[in-house]
Amino acid sequence: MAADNSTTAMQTDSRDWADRWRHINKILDRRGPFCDNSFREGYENTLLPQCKVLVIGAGGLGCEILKNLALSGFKDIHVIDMDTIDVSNLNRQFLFRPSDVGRPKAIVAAEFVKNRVAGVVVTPYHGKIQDKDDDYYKQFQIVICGLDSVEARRWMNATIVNLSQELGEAIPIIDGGTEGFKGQARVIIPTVTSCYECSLDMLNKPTTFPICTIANTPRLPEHCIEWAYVLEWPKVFKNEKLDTDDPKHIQWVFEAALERARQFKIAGITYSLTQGVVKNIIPAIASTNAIIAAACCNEAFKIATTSAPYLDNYMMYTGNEGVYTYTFQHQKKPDCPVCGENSVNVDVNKNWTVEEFIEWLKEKPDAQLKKPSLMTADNKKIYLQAPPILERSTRPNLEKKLSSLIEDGDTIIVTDSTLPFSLQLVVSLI
Amino acid sequence: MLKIWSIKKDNAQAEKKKPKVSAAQIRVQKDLTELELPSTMEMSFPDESDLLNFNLSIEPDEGFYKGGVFRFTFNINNNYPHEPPKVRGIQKIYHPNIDLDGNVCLNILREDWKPVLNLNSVIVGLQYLFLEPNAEDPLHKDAAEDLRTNRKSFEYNVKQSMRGRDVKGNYYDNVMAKN
Amino acid sequence: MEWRTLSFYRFKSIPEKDLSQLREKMLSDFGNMNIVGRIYIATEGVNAQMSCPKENIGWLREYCDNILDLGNVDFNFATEHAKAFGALHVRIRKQIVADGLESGSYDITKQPNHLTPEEWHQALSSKPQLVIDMRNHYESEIGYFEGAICPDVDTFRESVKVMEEVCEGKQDQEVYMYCTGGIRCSKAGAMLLSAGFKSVNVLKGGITAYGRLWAATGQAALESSNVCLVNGNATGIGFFTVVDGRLVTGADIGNNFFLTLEALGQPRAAKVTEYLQELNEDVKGSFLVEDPINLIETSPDYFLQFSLVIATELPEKPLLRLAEILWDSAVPLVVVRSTGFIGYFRILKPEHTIVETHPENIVDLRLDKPIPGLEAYAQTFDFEGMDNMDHGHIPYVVILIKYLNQWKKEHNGELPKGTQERNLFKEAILSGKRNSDEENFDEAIASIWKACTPTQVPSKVQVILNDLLCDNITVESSNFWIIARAVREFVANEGLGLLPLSGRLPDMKAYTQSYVDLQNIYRQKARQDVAAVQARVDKILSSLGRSSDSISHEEIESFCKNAAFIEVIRYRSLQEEYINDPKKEDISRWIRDSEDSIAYYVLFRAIDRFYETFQRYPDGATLPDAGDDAGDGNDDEQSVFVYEFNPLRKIVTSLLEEWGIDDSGLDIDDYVHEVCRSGGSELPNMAALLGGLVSQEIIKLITHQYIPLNNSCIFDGIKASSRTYVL
Repeated sequence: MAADNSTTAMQTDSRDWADRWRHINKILDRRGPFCDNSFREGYENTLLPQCKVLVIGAGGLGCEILKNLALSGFKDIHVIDMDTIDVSNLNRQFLFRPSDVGRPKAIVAAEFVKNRVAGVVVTPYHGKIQDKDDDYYKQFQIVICGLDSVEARRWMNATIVNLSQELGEAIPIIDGGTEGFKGQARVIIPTVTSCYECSLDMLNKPTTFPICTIANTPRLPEHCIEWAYVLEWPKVFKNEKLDTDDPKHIQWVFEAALERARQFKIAGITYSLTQGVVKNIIPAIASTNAIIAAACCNEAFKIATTSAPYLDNYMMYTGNEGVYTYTFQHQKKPDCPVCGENSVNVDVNKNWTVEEFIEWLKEKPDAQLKKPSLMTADNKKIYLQAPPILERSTRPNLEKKLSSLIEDGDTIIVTDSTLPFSLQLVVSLI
Repeated sequence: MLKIWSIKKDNAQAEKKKPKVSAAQIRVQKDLTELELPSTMEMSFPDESDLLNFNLSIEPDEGFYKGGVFRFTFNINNNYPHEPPKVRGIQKIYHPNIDLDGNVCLNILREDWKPVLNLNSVIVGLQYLFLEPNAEDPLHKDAAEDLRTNRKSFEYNVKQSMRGRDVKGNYYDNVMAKN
Repeated sequence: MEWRTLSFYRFKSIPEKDLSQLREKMLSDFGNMNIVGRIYIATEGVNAQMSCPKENIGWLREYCDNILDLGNVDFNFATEHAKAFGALHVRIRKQIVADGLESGSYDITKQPNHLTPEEWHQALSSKPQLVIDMRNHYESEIGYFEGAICPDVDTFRESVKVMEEVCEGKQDQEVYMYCTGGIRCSKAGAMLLSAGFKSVNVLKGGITAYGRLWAATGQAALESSNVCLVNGNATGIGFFTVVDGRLVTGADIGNNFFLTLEALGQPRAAKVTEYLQELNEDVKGSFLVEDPINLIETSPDYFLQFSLVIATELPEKPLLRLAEILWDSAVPLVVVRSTGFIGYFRILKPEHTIVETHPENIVDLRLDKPIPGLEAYAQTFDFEGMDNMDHGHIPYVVILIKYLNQWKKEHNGELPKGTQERNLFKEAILSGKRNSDEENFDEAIASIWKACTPTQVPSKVQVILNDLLCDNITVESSNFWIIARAVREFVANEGLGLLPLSGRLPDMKAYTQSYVDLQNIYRQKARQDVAAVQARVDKILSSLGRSSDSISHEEIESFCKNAAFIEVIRYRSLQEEYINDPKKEDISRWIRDSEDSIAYYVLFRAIDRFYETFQRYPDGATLPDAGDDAGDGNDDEQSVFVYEFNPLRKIVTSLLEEWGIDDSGLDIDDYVHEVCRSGGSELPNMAALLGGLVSQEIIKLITHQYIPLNNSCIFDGIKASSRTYVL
């Protein structure tokens, strides 16, 4: 990313007024003792004037993040969110008003911030992160995630890490998350620091109960609620999936659980407990969101300006007993399926059959493979060693030329019991 | 100025787009291709291009359930292995740990699932259920009670049920192997 | 389909000739959008109650704003969202709310005060004379506000009659009224005002809005709190008052999301109040445009009306004065400051007591001293005679009691002591396990350590029970200390040396029946303990001449349940910290730890001294030639800035000297340098972060739930880490 020196400096922006950036400029115009060597004084020497930053999520964290970024001097902010505003969002998500109920969060949040902070462009996208492709994501210099779903974060992380590898330049991800009084903010520099996938085993496991307990020996109200939605719902509604956002569905689960609890003389079923168990969420607290969002934006600001070193790489926060933070370096997992060093360029004779290629792999001393299974990165099977049914159906490929199954430059994903995870071969056919 | 983190390029031909493959996908490839299926089990894929959804059949060669073929569906979502695979029986069978709707009471499918476990662990667990049904933590209470109080009667009822006959007023699916 | 049920109304003049056309239009437009409900239109306006598919709410909003031109009418959403109507009806009426009065007999534009749910709550807590429920009897039977007059009527027309009777001749009294959605009160209020009543107050949005707010929060204390922000602009809860004498500058607007250029030059207090209210329209705010330093000097008592004061940007002397005034009246004070990437805040309050500390686990099983009924219940389990299933479902509490009894029999009534004995005990339990699947035995083994630890009053709680305030119960004593005293007496008497039982049983492998049985045994004992403590509280209250219902049963119950985890925090005063008893030794130790952040505390204190001398904060200037009293803070780099490093560094040295800390060899220059660089700037992210941290602590202080910070916190935004100190 090259600096565009013709970009208008912060002080001369026609929409600016005297002193607008007085606070920030104290930090940007002067070098501090903890600054990175690459720091150059002046707003125009930072990335702020031309940085495109992407915010994922316009909910509790997202609203705070958008506001903070705009006030911090970011000019070109994009936001993605697939939800529309519900009444229940109004108390925490302060960019929304009762009259916005039913409208897309991303669009309303973008409008609000644009109207409030002069000179900021906020571009919303109302839809799924998966709708967008690499061409979209590669325009950004920083990505901030304010999500509450593990799955969406894994997708976002994998997408940005892969993209960074392809571009040969890391797009930093700043990830924030909160659960009640607890939260975390972290900085992910793809392939340099640990990534979201590396830390997957740090996640709290959602509470579940043995299915025989919920079926036969319920003791807690939670057991009755799980009975209602795990066992009874599919029985009564067959193919209709339970929608955890639909109050009528929750109401049904609540009533079924209440009845069961009555039978077993178990007290304590409430509507909100039902909601909590079914959605498996700990309610968000506005102040935790404010803290974590601000911590994330502070990192974005430091990264874009090099005015202070950025977080390396994880801050945990707990607020139920005093104020507690723990800042540490989370270690990269060498065999991480997303950011691990598992990609190798290989030159392959274009006349080789798949079988010859596999033999060559097995003899390759630095690979140490015994029974490699091969698939292309777009999910086409080349040869799989097991299970038998897949082995049989891919066996005919062994005699085919590799060049008839893949194209020059394609990636092959190799798994083998000797590999901790997988090996990605980028094949040049010669 | 922004610090640039230059990293090793994945591919000289960067303009060629690398199709995205999710960590869950790769993990399933690894799990599947390292499966050691005993001869008593068989897998099938309704759609061979989709490795995340498949069927497994178990034909126990000893124990109460010898002679039957028991079919299960496996559904794996993109949050694997953070979340366990969803496993469900597709026949109505008489088993202490499987209810009439096909729910399976196996600890590693719910409360004891960990990402370090894999499809092999689940399959081994399922097989064990047919060799050693657990009567002490029942899901199908009648079947469990039967097994606890009178193994002979249980054995007889299992055989009846496997042939599609009625046991205590409930008709079960005929699951006998066709050979 | 997911539905939203809502109501709205608007008094708006509609020509009579247009009504039927409007009706047709509504029927067709709402029908197309699958909206059902009951809509009245009249020459005086529109009144609608409807269920709308969730995805069409956006359309409805547009339609009301732009097609019906209802002027951004408030949608009043119900708390429950089911499809509440079967079909769509649009009816043309004489009036949108039938009052039975001649049109023109009163002036609808005379609108009563619409109180927000908080204001309403506050107003009703002073128990006004005239509170009228304007709903029908079948509505008020569901529930009504305490002290409200609920006419036994079927229609609004009759309500109006009753209202007129009740209010007759009381034109000078304050009238409060409420209904379901607010529309009936808009009318009824207008009637009273037209009839010469001086003050008519109605609940804005009606019961619907009130329910929405209160069902979700239950934080009565929080929302009736009255917070004062001195120079502040970061946070807002309940009722607040902003005291600030300055005018809005360009830099303020740059840093504040809710300030726009139009605010430039206006009083900060007014503008900040405005935007805090925008943030949450249910919060009530007021402001005072006055220099707080001046106010502290001239009328310090002003600050005693608040339940909490937050002070930012106050120099040392007025801060000390304010802290002293508030301390003497036990009003909590939170001091907040930031410069650049560094934030600091400090809580001051003479004493803070907490019952609901929300510990992770309040289970207290008392296996070493089984509660009444537990032994006998355990006896009913015949371990040997059980089949495998029953054996695998014996609750682990019962398993432990059985094996502990056996052990005690063999060891002179003593519990297993030390690792070796516990291992032996573990083996005894293991020997009873029939197969590896018996999770109940595993649970028993996991609880051996707890079971073998004698139950006693935790020493931390003992200290509280032995406190002087617990000795000397007077009419001044707070509820906390009265209950604590009762608990102390309980421990010494019927409690047999132990606290009241929490009554909480953790989940364990067991049949439903045996779990419920056990739960009942624990709960019954807990209830008995609460009753015993209640009796003692009553006695104390009567000796003080207070009525026995002045402490609620729930409060006593909660105290008993949490008795092992109660907390009392006695903060150090600012006087102690700054003058009488600075934490010299601790600071001297912390400051030598290069990972610590205490150096920033020293710097904040030094900044205050700097301010006293120079009447500004340490900063730098673009002077190419360094003057005599300013040094170049950075020797290695050629810097165009000259920081006021030396004068600030000198102050740091003298401060440390006062505390007896020798600063030679201390690595503190970088911190001084960074503070000069930031020059008192407030970075938006740091302000938001501190705002979040501070509001979290304020919520804890006001609700007396969870454990607040004791007493100072530094957040270092460079390292992204916080440290807390008792200073």
